[in-house]
Order: sequence, then C-alpha cells, then structure tokens
Amino acid sequence: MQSTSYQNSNSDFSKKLFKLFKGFKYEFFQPSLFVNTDYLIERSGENFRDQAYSFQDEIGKNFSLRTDLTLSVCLNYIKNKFKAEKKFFYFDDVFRKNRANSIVTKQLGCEIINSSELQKSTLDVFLTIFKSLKIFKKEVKNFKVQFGDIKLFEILIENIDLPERWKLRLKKHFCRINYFEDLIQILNSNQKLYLKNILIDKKKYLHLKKFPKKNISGRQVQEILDRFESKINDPRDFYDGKKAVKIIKGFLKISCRLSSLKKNLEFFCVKNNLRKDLFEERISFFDQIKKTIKQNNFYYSSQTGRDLEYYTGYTFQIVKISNKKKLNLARGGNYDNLFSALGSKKKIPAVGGAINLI
Amino acid sequence: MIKNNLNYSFALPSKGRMRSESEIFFNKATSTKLHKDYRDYFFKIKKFNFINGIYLHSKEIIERIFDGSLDAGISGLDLLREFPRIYQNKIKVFKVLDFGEANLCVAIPNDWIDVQTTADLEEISYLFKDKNNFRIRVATKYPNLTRKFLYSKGITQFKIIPSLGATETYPYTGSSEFIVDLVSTGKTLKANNLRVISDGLILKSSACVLVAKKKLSDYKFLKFLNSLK
Repeated sequence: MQSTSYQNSNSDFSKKLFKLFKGFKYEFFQPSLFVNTDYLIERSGENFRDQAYSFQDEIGKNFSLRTDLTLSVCLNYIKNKFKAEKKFFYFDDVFRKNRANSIVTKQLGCEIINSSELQKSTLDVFLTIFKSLKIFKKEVKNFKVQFGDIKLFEILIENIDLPERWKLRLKKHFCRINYFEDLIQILNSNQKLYLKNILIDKKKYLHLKKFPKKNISGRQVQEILDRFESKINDPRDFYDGKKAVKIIKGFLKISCRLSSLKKNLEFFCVKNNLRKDLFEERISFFDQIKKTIKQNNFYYSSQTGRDLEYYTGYTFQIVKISNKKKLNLARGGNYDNLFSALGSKKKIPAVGGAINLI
Repeated sequence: MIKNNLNYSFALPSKGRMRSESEIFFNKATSTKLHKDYRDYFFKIKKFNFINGIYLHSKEIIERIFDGSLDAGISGLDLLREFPRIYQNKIKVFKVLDFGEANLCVAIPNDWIDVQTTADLEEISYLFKDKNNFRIRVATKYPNLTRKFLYSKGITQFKIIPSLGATETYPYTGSSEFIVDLVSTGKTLKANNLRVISDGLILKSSACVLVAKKKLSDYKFLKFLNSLK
C-alpha cells in the first residue's frame, strides 16, 4: 500500500491547502504509514489492537497502519525530542477497523504542541479548522458547532460530596460512556456486596501481616495490606450517592446555545447549592469565541468530546444535520495527557483538530 | 475431505473428554453406534448413511464450518465466541449440549485480598502501571473475549499475554499477574493458589452443535440435525 503525498501534488486543492495552513504558520507534517504496534499497546492500551490493521514482519515485529494522525504527530514530536511550541498540519489517510462506512478516512488537521497559552492555541486551532471546512467543504450548509469542556465535569466532581475514590473513578471513566452509566447506577443503588467479601478475607489479612515484604504476582504484600486497610476505612459502597447522581445527571443534560451558557450554568449551580461562579474561569474561553466569530449556530453540550479518551479540556465538534442524521464533519480539542501516555516524561499540553474529508 | 453433493459432513472433536462425551451423545441421539475407519479419522452412521463423519480439532471444526468445507459439528461455545464476528454471522448454535460445561472467568492470586471485583482490578491496574512502568499482564487463550470483557468493566491498563496451555501457572512463573481461563470444577485454580473474582464471569460455555447457516434450509440435513435434539 502506498501513502499518498499531497505535498508535491500540483492540484488546486493542495495549493489552496498549503496556502491556508502556511498562512496560519503551520508546518507540513508527512506521517509515516505504519506505527510500532507493541510500542503503542505498551503505552496506550489494548484498545488500539481493536482499531488497527496490524502486520508482523519477518523477525516478528508488529506494525499497524496508522489509525490517527494526531498520534503520529505526537510520536514524531517525542522522537525528535522537540522542546519548543510546534504547529503542524497534515493531510492524509487513516485506517480504522469497526468503521460503519469506510475503513479509510482522509483527515485534514492541525496540532499545536507545547503551547504556553493553551486557550489562545485552542482558539487558533478552532478558527483554522472552521475556516478550512468552509473552503474545502463548500457544499456544507446547515452545520452546527458544538463545544464542550471536560474540565467543567472535573470541577463539578471536585465540588460535590463524594468519597475520594469515587471522585477518581468518575473522572477517570467519564469518557467510557457505557461503563460510566454502570458506575452511576452502582453509586445510585448503594450496593452492599463488597464488605461481605472483605470480611471473609480478614483471616488471610492477619496471616499476610507476618510477611510484609513478600511479593505476590508483582505486588508486594505491604501494598496489598495497605489497600485492604484503606478499603475498610473508605468503603465506597456504603456511601449514599443518590444526591451526587442527581447533580451529575443534571449536569450531563446541559445543552444550550453558547450565548446562554453562562446563565444556564449559574442556574444549575444555584439549584444544586453550588458556588454560583464555580465554572466562570473556564467558560471565559467561550466568550472569546463569541467575540471572534459572530455565529448563531454555536452550541454547548456537556457531552461534547467525552467519548474520546484523550481529550482533557475544551472540545469542539462541527456536525451537519440532514434528514435527522448527524454527520461528523470535524472535531478537536485539548489533549494534555496523551504525551505522558505515549512515554514522554514531561507533561506536554497540546491541542488539535481534524476534518474528516471522506 | 471429498464431498459428495448428496452427502453432508459432520465433525466431532478428535481429542480428550470432548471426543468421548461427543461420541456418547451421538450414539445416544442417533440410537446407533458410530462406525470408525481403521485410521480413526472418519466415521459413518448406519441410520444416516448420507452423513460423512470426520474427527477434527475443536477449533478447526469452527474454521471448516466457516470456510464451507464442513456442514456441522460439535465444538465449544467459548471457541466460537472467541472467533471474529464474521464467524458468528455464518455459524448457528443449533443445540447447546449438557457436557463440556465450563465458565470463562477472571482469576487472580488468592492472596490479593484487597481485590474482590473488577472495580478493584481496575484500580490496581493503574497503581501497578504507576509503580512498575509497565501494564498489568493477563495470560489467556481467549484474547478477544478477555479484551472485550475487561474494557466493558473499565479496565484499560493491561497487556494480554497469549497462552497456549497451562495458563494457571503463569502468575506463579511471573509471566503474568492474573489470568482469564476456563474453570469447570475450580480444583486446578485452587491447586495453583488462584481464585475467581466475584463479578469475573465472562462466559458460560458448553459443547454445542454448530451448523453452517446456509445449510439450515436443506430439509434432509435439517431432519438429521433435529434427530440430535
């Protein structure tokens, strides 16, 4: 299979594309067609195997066709040991299993890595994607822009009455929509299953206390004992989470025009006895968007971007609605933890967005 | 196997308890004895002489029904579910049999007293990665079912170690931290100081009569299959 390079193409499309992105000071990035499967599975998890088309070479190394160009840009940044802010754009194919329509999608996108002013960069990426979409998808009419912010959910969780372990779990699994629903149900129903099991193991606990330095399948006995003790002291399953669940469900229902977001969030806070200005600092970003582009089809939804594991902050999604069907034209957002997941020792903030051309 | 257009092929597992129990079931269901050839590869049934019987590895039975060179056979539900979805689209579970019963379960070292549920396993998978700088490892012969189940329970920080046998020894030898394996009586797990976590049941499996879906419209063959019920 051959990668298609658009850099040397003389088509009008390529010329337009290069002019636009270079105008925004983005550097062209030509991603490699393959990525090292073992490296990615070690760092970002087994889920990658489900999405990727993988191969093995004659010495047994596993490779996969790239599933995402953001991932390729990040891997390139780490490989080249860049330290300063970098702005890249790309235009190429990605290959994914489990796609309803096509296994090959052409992605046009841009990323700003290691930015010192993340809000400004997020606005930069959004404007670039928004303008590109208008140029390259002229036929697009009746579209809607939905914004979201994963951090708002995290702020909410930190400010409601919940045991620490529950707060961690809810934040960690916000992106796994089905599992998150299971967690909410457990929190709501106050399941009392676990303490019974804990008591059964108390005898073993006393026995293990004699060998704190012993290793059992990669875990030290002391570590097991500590966690066992913390489970007894912080029994997540005896907590009455009904009130917290009601607040979380209410928050997830917030969906409104960007122009009325502030009013809606303030109303939500007052209704649930939360500080009225709880989200104020974060939502000032949306005011900047409103000032920069005057559009009445900009919306906010608490659900926008939560399905993508690596988004950590502001997210956006441009959708076309025709015949009651939602077509995802472009999406993007902040991803501050992806570099750590890919093996970087430093936390590198980043933001990116991409247009699906096919 | 050379197929005659008027004949149908049916496979039984070629080894172990699955073979002997399949033969007992077959003899009982057809009220006749199987006639094996001298090499012990093929068999015939007197009452249904249009059936060409063959002994195959349980996994191969599924492969052959999928590629169309076999019409039906007895194999394990666990093996069928482990194959990609395209296999399940072409193969029907015609009858669930009352032998070869086993549960596919998540099993952990008995001394991990702080782990009772998948929620605990999810928590320690993060702690394990932070401490050791590599993911917690799970040994299994069922990588697809394992991956799907663990993901459904929110466990994402793990690495699958494919196993070909004696999976229960992997935590002891340091090749993995926990396992996903078939458990029938639980004796093997106990002997290896392992236990099943409380919500760790992935699949209840047993032997099944599996049939190529396209053969289900064939009246003569369907009559034979119904006699197995």
